[in-house]
Amino acid sequence: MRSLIFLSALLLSIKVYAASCCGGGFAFPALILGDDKALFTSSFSYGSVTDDVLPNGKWIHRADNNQSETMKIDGAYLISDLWQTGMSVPVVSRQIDKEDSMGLGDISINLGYEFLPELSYSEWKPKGLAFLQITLPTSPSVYDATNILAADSRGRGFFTLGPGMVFTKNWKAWDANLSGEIHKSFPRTFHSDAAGGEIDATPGWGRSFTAGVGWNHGDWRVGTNLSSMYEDAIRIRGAQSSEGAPQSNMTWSAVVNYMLDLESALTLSYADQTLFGAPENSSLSKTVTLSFQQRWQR
Amino acid sequence: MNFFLTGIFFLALTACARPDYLSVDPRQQNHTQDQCALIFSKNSLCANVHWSQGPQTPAESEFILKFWNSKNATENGPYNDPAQNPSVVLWMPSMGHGSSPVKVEKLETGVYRIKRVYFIMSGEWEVRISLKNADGSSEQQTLSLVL
Repeated sequence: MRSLIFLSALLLSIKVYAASCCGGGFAFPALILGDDKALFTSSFSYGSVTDDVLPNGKWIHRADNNQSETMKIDGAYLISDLWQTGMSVPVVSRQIDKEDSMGLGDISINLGYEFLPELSYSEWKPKGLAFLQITLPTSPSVYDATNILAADSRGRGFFTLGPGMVFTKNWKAWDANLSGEIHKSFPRTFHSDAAGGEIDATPGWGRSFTAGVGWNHGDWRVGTNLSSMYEDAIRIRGAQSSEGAPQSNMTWSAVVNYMLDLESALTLSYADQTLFGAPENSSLSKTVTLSFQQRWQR
Repeated sequence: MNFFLTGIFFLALTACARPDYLSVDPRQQNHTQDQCALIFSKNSLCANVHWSQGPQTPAESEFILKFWNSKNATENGPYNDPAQNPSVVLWMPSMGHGSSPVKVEKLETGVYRIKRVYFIMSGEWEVRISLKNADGSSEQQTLSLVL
């Protein structure tokens, strides 16, 4: 049970970034994975973009002091035995060279359904949840940025909708999690000074997968996760034209959780996108996150 | 469980990133275009770009853009004005976005200074230079950079 509490905090800290210029990426939805009726998590992340990878796989070191701090509030609420809903509200502060910007990021709302409840002990059967998440373009994207270096680009700029699944399983002191999601980003028209006029931006599908394990001892848990993400190319027509290139990368994270009491926990995580995989057309970052989670039991 | 952990460990090892950094300094590689790098055939014009600052990121870059008649002049002159002032857009085709608008300043006949050139991130960029013709159509030439 304790590990499930920890897992809720762990998965909330997973964010699979797209390019840093464009903010956003896929953030794991706020979901109740334990035996709770409500969950509230506040987290603070500090991230730094260290490298860019070209579509041909060549790497370039970043030298623009590109940093971001994200304060995020996640809430999830059980609306029936099996159904739940959740919301994530990030506030993002970005610094690039001597330019900075702070404001709302892209808000996400989700609906979850526990399709594989754990009603009795099984050595192999996991607990399974399905979810549907929508992300709203509530913050400026690189297409609407007005700062010289686009530090005010805090989101992707697209409505995104997609389903996913998460499985969790415990074996004594060990736990494991496996999750995956696909999403569709919808086309939008922007009036972009950077493009010299109006452009139609057509993104496509994206997907991400995460696998992880953890070891629990008393009030402590240590764990690790590996996530991969892929985003279709963004096609541009209008004042400018380009076909774009797909983006992909992998994020490795190490996590330490500490349970303050039965209803609250602290989580410290470190995520690094430079260690695994063969990234393409991506900005790679290193991020530290500290989060506090409060839950209310059923 | 041990089998599962061992599997994850070996999978992680095989998935290790192998960074292949660009070996050429892009600032040297892209510093000067001395010849007729950009051909505007409808306008019978040649153009070249000389970087007076950069190209670089994130600091400001600046370049001089010169036009001359492709039939009877050279990069050393005499220079010719296009029908209208050129427009310049910085574009990142792989990501599908641009950068902040540049400022085009005419220095003399056929010679322009392009200021406020900011490339907002590292990567493959295009400097897209467009000329509008008298009939309303436009012609665009592109200079590719890796920063």
